Amino acid sequence: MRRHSQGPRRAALSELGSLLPLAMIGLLIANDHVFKFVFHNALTGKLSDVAICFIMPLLVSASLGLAARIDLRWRLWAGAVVTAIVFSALEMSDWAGGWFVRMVALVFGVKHTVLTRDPTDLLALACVPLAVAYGRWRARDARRDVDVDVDVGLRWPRVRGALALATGSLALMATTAPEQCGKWSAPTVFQVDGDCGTGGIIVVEADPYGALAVTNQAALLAPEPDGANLGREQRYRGTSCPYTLEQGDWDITIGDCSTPVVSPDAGAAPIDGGAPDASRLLDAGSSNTSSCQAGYRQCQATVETDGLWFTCHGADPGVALCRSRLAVLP
Amino acid sequence: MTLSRMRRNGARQSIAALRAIVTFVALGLAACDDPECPDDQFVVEENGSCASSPQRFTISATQCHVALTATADAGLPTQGAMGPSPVPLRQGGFILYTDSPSFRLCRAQRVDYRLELSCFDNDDALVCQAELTEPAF
Repeated sequence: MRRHSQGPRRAALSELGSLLPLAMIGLLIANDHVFKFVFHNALTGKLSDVAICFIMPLLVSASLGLAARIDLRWRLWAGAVVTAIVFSALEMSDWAGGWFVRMVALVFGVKHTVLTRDPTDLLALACVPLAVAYGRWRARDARRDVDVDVDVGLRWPRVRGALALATGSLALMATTAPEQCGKWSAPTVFQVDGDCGTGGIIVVEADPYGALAVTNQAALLAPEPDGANLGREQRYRGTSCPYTLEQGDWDITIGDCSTPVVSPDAGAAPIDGGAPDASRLLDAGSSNTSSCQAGYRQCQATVETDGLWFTCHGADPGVALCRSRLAVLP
Repeated sequence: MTLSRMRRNGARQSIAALRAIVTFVALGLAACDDPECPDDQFVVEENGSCASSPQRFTISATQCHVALTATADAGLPTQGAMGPSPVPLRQGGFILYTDSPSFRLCRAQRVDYRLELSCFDNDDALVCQAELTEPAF
């Protein structure tokens, strides 16, 4: 009686607990967290896709097998269909990609997620039917072992299956969120006009991880005072790959402000339209800005109704210190 | 069927499945993208208003980044990058830029048999022009 109710569940886990799915999960984790960063070539770009398309149908099938008594063939094909739809959507649809990025941010707290899209990645879908065939073969073996009552021999595959289910699910969520753009993002030339810097031409370029370098920085941002030794972070925050710097979503942070405090009387902008009162923001001695370094600035490039603007705030995010307009030059 | 025989069969099938996966991986890799920017390098002669006298140096493209082995006498930035739609280096379509000693931005385009560089300052005013040609050996 006990065996009758638990047999299908044991079999579902055993499908995952064999060497090949475990090796694929190991490959996925190693590729996403080590190989891509060390080698970053065409091979690392495809390995994860191949591993995903093999593991995901088996994971979905095993999950269905644990949740309900569904015929093996049906749950394997359900896994195949889910994999094909999800993988294709993430590769081809901006909407699906954006939705996924938001979900990853919500679940894992990863803010800088960049999906890399390449139509040739869809070739990896050829691994889906292979996974179905492998799952059927493994399940047949596992059922045979249950029938001949080799419970002790089956325990390890089940433990490995449970391990594969947990780590594989996490690895799948993490893998499709590479924080690296493997496509060429050309430098963007901007004409800068405004009061954040001296104005003029700048060239902004991003490395594959979204870190930015700005040539002719003084045109964009006034230099730090002599002797100031403030850290600087310049980063693209958008979700496009290649990066679309002309669409904004990049920022420059100077100095550190671990817990910015908004002053009670802070408004979005001065009512009289005059210049923002920068002094109250840069006053490191005031209680409102005590957690920020003197000279702290956070500047963001964002698209507004009348074009791309570069706006800097101090410790008080409600008040703009300066604004410059960015126009893309050919 | 004995347990040991079943395991032997399983091992054989595992190897077959592994072979199939290796085949798929190989097929997937065979369909990988071509490099976005072909690497290239060649020697050029510079003439024009950027240098006081003709210069000779090597220009190279490596993973979409462009570099010149030119000295300061060439009056050109020594680093740059391909544009958003990369083409072979000889076709132009790249920019060179520098902060030092002052900001310069040079745009390169192919005209007939030569590369023409137009260089601009911080105010987007044209500073100088250079022609790069491959010397006849």
